[in-house]
Amino acid sequence: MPSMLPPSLAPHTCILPSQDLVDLLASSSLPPLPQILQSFSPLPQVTTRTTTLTPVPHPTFALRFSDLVEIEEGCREDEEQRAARTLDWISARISRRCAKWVEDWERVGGAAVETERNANLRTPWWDEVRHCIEGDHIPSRIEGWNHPVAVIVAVSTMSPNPLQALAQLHARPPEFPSWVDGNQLRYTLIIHPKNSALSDEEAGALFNAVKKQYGLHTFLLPLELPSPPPPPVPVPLQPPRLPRNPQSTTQTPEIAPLSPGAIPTLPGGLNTLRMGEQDIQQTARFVREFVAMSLVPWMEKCAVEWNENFSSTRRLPSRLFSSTRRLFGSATPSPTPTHGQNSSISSVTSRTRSGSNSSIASVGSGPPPPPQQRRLAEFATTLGDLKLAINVWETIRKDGKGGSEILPLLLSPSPAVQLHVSHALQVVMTSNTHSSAVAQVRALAYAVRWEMGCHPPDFIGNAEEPPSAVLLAHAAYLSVRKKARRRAALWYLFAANRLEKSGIKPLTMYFLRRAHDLYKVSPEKSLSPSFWDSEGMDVGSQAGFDAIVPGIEHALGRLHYTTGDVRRAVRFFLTLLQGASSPEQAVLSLGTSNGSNLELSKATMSDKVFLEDFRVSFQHLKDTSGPNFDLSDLKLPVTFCDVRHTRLRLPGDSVGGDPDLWESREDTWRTYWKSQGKESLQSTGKAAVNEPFWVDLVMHNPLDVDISLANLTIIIKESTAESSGPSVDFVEVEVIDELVLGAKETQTIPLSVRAKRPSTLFITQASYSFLNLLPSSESLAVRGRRLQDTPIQRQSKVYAPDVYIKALVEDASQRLSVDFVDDGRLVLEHGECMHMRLWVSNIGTEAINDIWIVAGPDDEYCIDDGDVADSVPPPAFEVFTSSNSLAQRLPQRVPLDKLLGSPLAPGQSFEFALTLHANTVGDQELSMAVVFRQKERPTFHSIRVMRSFEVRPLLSVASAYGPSNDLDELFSLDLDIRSVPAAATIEISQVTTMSPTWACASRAKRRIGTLLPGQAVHLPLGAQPWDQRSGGDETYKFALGKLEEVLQGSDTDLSHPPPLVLRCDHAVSTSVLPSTMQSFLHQGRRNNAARHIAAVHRNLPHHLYPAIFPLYHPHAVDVVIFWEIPSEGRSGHILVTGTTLGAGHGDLNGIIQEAEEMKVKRNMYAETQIERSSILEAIRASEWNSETNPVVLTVQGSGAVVEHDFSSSSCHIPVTLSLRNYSLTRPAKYTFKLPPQTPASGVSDMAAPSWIGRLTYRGTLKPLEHLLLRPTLHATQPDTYTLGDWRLEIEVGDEVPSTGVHGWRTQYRYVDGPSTAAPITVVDVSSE
Amino acid sequence: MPAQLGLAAVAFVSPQNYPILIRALSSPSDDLLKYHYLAHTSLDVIDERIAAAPKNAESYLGFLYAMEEVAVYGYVTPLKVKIVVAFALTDAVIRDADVIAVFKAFHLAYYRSVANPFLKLHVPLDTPSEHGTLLLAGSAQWRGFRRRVDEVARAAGALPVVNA
Repeated sequence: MPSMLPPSLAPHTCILPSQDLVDLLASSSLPPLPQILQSFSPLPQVTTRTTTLTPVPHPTFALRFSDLVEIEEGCREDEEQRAARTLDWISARISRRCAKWVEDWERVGGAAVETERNANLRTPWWDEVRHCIEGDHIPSRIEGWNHPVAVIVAVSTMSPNPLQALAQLHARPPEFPSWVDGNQLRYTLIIHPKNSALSDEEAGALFNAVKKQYGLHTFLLPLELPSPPPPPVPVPLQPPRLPRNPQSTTQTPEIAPLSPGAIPTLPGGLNTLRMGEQDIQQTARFVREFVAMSLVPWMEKCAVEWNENFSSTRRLPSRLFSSTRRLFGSATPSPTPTHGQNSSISSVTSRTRSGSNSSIASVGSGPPPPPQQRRLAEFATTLGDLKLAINVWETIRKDGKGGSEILPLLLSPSPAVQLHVSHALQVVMTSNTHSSAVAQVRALAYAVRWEMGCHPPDFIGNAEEPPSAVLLAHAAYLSVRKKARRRAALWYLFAANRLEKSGIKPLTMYFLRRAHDLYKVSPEKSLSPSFWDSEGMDVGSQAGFDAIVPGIEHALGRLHYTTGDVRRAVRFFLTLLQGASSPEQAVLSLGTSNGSNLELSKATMSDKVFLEDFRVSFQHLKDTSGPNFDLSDLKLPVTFCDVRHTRLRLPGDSVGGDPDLWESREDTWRTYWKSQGKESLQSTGKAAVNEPFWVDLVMHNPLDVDISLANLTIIIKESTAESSGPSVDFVEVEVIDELVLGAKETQTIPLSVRAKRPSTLFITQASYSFLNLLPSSESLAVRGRRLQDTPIQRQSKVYAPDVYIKALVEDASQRLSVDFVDDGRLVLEHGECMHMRLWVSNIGTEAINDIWIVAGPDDEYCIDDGDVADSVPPPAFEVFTSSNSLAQRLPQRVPLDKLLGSPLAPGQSFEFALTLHANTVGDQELSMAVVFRQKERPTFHSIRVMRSFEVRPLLSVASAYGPSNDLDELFSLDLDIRSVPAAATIEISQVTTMSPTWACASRAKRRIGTLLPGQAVHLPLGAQPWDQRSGGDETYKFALGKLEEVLQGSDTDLSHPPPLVLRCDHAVSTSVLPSTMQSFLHQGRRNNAARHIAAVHRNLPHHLYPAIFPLYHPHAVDVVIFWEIPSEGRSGHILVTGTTLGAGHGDLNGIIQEAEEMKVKRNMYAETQIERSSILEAIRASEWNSETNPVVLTVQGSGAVVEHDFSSSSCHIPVTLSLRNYSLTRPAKYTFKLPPQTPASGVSDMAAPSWIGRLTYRGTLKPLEHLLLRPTLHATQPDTYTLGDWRLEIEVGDEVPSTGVHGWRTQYRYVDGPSTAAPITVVDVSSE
Repeated sequence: MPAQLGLAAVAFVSPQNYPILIRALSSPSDDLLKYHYLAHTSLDVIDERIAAAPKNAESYLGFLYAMEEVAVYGYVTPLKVKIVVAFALTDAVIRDADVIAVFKAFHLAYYRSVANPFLKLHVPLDTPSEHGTLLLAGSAQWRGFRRRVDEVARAAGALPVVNA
């Protein structure tokens, strides 16, 4: 139940003053009488009585007074027209004053108040609308509130004949239309001023006479009305009233228009009255008497009477009847007694009533006044008889005649209230599809009443006038209080959209701002603080639906711009330039923009619009605000620099190549130098003083529109500098005048930097002028890694300090420039030795004493030191000692002493040559780090050189070897050298064999000469053990020992194999290998051996290879083929490795077996077992464990033809069998058996021989020993005999002196038999 | 499914109140932004309804509010994805059963689209929540969801049948 009814529901009293009274008040500087009386409303402490005579105390009792003429005029005006005028009038008022309102409101922090739900604070615009609507006092056809309940006829005693004046006024009936309720109380007021012609007694007599003539409702009001008028007394503000229709005003000019302007107001907006204290009391007494003695009793009487009528209709028959009517929907007039006019109106349903009043008017003599029931309800409401009022209103509502609009005010809050509200609005709105001004005003009035009756309106019309907009805004205001902020935001937005159409900008802006704020506010989430951390989200991250905010911001920006607040407009446009992140990013950051938003931004508003608006407004701002205008608070919301891809680029970096590769070169150097000294190698990546380096800035445009950035540059700080000023002064940074980035484009922008003194520089920011308008800068810092060291760091997110791109600038004291002299494309033939010249220049300021070259382990090169080989006569063979180590090659020092004779002085340069051996076919790169230093300097510096080249295949070499048939040599080694078809004509200049054990000689002894493309040459070589061989046994022992360690799983010590002496035999002609060639051969052998070992022993760690395997197997034979292409001036050599001659004896078998039988440690990892067994297998199959039958039997003179005269005797042919032990180490026992008499075998068609003499030979062969057996073949007839079916049993072992007489321990046994037929033909040469 | 329901738009809103997909279905397509507003505003009403409803209330929330020629209905899946459908306000009676059928169809469309395993293709495996992938279902690069929604709309008579 409401505490107070809206004032618009208060009883309405019309006043008809006489002309003399009007003049009197005017002369006393007083407003017209209705206003004076209105100042006394509401009355305090009024008691009314209900129909059941229960007293109802009213703390305040509102009254409304107005001029009768004005009301009459208002009734005559077309309702629709007046409604439209009302709306325009309210709009004008709002428009005039809203700027001030918004200002004041924001000053008192209105937005904050909204959220705090301070109900006492009201928005001024809503108050304005409310007052205007409440101030409506013209009677309406729909409802009876404004229908006057009383008419006060007022005269003054200043009139020459007050009685006559009264008579005239009383004779004038109120000129209301027929639909105005004619049931009024008539009251007479006589004002008796002090200066009246009548004395007090005469006035009393007049009063009595009037009372006698016009009844008791009469009052004599004596007033002093001093002149000059007393000081103004503040009184309650008059509700604003719609100015009178200008046309009708001209007809009755005598009545002053009752507009707010006519009321004298204080500057503070207060309403005042210039009345004396005495007069005020007198008037108050009159008003109280009028209400208490006349108006209220009269209204109570009416209520009682009408209630009688009402209750009678509620009795059973009529109720039955009326329900029947309701049931059958007939239009039978209700029998409800109405006063005055007929009751045909009751048949009109509410649905059509508001719109069809005029049609009803045409039916009867005129539109009927409001039905009695309604008046009853209204009176009961006014009098506070709520029980009756609710009852009657309900009945009216059930009859479909309204009531819904009042019931919400009277009922206690319940769901039904909302239904009433919506029904009331439906009635208003459905009257005509396009809402008329009447309907709007009506709805507004309802809304105002409901709002005052404490229920927020739940209503949105589609009218576009400011009042409804303000209503919406108020709805929003109330929604905020209800915490429905989303709805509030929408309503604010709607309100703003409407207001904007009527051009009321300050308020529009305010509403938009509110909407903006509300959309920005995310709902409170009662979640654990660690939730955000675990989800990886930012607490303050803006929730979804971000398609909405840009629209609001854009509208706000435009409004600000049009209203001249360009600064704020610029700020709004700036925030709109958000750009869109990639979908993946969106997912990670949880939806800054999802797909539909992206689509939306393209469809409705693009960055292009925003950018253009920004450009225009900012340009305007710049033009208008003069030179010294502060841009510091304008920050671009987007960033263009991709910090994570931005890089520093130094001059040396242009060499290219894999960074890991350079890293490994530097590691190689460090490892090498560790044993030599403590000096460290300064890593590359330093720029030099006065030498440019570059910052490759990666710029990405996130907007889908082209942008231009002017004066793009970077800001550099020195590491020691604390200040945040501009770039340090000793650094020159390139500035790019203009950069245009296309929509979503990414570009890499190199910016050159040159420092004038050594320092550590941090590249902190990129700065540019956005669109050549807004100077802006972006940090180039990357967030440091997350710290996890302490529990606190683990529990919360703590990051290391930001990481900036760092550039080290060093003094150019030690600087070297190294380049290849020839820079063209390099194509080499396989095996070619290419002389390359390097140009070295000291560009630093200090002399350089030492220069080293660090190349990759596979690169074969030699520094030519300018030595010329001594021209000694070539020996028969060459001997040189090899370190026999697989270790990587050490960095090579450039012999500055030899080449220059002095350190490399600053500015000096020299060239030196390098021979490169192209050992691998394909595209190759020679990457060398050149390490240098000044003598005794504690640091080394390095630079990088790289050369790419292509290697084409030239020769293919195949080798085959086996035991030689020739008794002079042990093994034969056949080489097949074939030229590649595409190659040029090649000359094979030399074929050299290298072996620690074998001396090889060509059996051809001739020059091979030229090889045409595709041609092949065959070169047979014979190998004999070299009697001066040394180091082989040690090497063997070393390898076996190391392999045993590997197999046993013990730690391998890193000792290197003993040196080995190599013998070189030149097969084609005698010559001397230059020392560089020995180096190349060593490198080649190392590369080949390392590749082979890496392929075979895959599971052994690489760094252990040099400690396990010697470079050369003691029995290995390497062949080097030297070639020349005279036509192209090329020469080179190809190394063929992999040949191992001589029988092995499986020396590792014992160890392997031991390893296999070793108690297997159970290991949970199958991989470990597999790895172990694969290591074992690899060693078992390796060349160090080869095992063959060392003894070979050959038949000398096989295929011989023997002539014999069989006529004389049978033939005895001695056959020579050669038996040779190919083992270099072990003796062998042999047993050779010949079959006594062999029957002809079916296999061969040759005859089986029979032997005479000794058939079994036994003996022992020492290592490499060979002997001849000479059995005798007995041939009885001429035939071809095959020497088949012999049997050779071999026992390989050791002679162990201690084991007894024989002292023999057998290791392996072999049985051999004939493999070839070895025929001997006997021809009969008998004489016959 | 009943024809001519006057389906104007559908909005899928994630449990964290991010829009997954907002699609205008009436042809010609209206201002999409309006439906963003509507969906956003309905969250208030949905919140109120959910707060008021008992725990085991139905998914279908019924009529939420009417505004600017559309009636807005709401539906909450068991996993709190909110589906908001706007019907054009006509004189024809909209039956709850029809609306529920439409909602169920949309729910199924959403469910099928989110089940797409390739949604997670470019999402790091250690992304803490599934939420992001839900949002991805509505993004422009995955057309399946839109297609399914359009199919439902077509069946409900909002969109013209393509091959007809």
